[in-house]
Amino acid sequence: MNQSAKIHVPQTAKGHRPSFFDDPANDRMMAMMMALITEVSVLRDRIDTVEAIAEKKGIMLAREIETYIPDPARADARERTRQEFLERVLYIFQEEAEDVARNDTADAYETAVKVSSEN
Amino acid sequence: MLVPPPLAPHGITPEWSHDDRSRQSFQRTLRETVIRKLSAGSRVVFEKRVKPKFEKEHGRSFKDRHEARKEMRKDTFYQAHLSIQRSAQELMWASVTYALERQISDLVTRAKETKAKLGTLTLDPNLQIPRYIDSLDIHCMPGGYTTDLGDGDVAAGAIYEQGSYIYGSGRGGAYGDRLGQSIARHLKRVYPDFKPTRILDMGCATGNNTVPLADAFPDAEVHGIDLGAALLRYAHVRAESMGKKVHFSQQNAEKTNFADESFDLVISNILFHETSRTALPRILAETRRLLKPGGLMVHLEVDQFASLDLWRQIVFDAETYNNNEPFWSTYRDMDLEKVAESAGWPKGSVKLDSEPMEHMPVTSQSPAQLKSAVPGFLLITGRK
Repeated sequence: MNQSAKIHVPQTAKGHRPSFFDDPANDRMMAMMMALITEVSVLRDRIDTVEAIAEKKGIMLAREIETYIPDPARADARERTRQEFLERVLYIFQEEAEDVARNDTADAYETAVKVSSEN
Repeated sequence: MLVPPPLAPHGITPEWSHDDRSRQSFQRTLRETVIRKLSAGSRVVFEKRVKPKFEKEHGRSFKDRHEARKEMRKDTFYQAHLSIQRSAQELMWASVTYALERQISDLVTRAKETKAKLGTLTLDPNLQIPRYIDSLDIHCMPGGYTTDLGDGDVAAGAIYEQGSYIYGSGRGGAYGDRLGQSIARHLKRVYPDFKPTRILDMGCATGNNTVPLADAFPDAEVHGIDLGAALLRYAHVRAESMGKKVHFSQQNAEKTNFADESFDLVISNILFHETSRTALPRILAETRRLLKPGGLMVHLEVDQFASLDLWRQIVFDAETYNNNEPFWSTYRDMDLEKVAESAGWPKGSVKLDSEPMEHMPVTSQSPAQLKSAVPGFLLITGRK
């Protein structure tokens, strides 16, 4: 079978998707969140599987995990990772705060578009 | 056991990865817990917030479910509930379709390699698909019942069987055949001497509910018809691999190519509510044409509005408007005995009956909760 003959399984349903909130942005947000929640659950299952397989091979991962205390270097590394993670996830607030700090207004943006078209 | 067993494997069962299984389990859990809790919450919101507010403002109660539904739709709790429920429906299908995309070619190959020894498969590429089936994808199943990707495609069958299993939280049992089993049980109980020699299942989809009739009446010739080619290819391979003899053909239940008086028994499972106002009486008339004198029809369907309180009417109406079930509400409002009469069944010859469902004890819910979670089913029966 060549590439062009590959058939594709439909992924969306025909028929207008209703909006439930006054602002459709909230519908999109909710849908993305539900999909993300699914994937978090799938990850937890996967970790559980790792523990279960390790246990079958005599490595009591789940029990060791419970009593594991990271050494100071590792604890620091985790702290950095956590902070970076939060910065990434909450990037939108940083963006907005820096916008305000720089006085990056919508008007200033319009002006930039105008200036670049005229110069 | 909190978790239902998976569907029993057969010759065309797709392969699910570890994460596919997790996604599908999660969608099942989401449906069984969150959606049910949100629904219970919405009921409280309706009774304690929306209804009193409306009554205070208008000095009267709701005149009908339509007025009540419109008021409910303004409530932010209910909006969030409906939004999550819609996403849950979409993600349920997605937990199946994304996994099928990577293996569809293998499934098609497996289907082609299956040699039929028992039953037959007859497809009609020129069959006209009615608008009530292909104007939108019913219950948001991607591709709907009749998408045929060509080249021996079986995707719709794989999507439908696994999606139904997740949707019903495994209550259909290892073979997803609870409805067909209930019809067989009803027949044995009410007509113990009935021995059909030819049986037709209209709108058989993947044949899960056709097979129990073949099991219950091993001497009968069993036929299943449906509009979807990919469903039927899947149904055929499934039945063959299970050693079940069923003849599948692609036909419209409104007008089949079987001769008059071809069958002793004509059945269907949750077919009517996915048809239309004009198609439904045609299907009842076709049922009568196909039955031999003395033959029986048993169409299994969801309950109608008359048996539901206002809140449950709103819940079911939501299916019509938010879950691609265009005919669902109209069907529930129809007078089925009158419709049957208009379709040639003499007055009084059609009965609306019920058959208790055998619930599969698969969830953590109490039996009472389980019972209330499963909608009632209706049997539309008649003897020619």
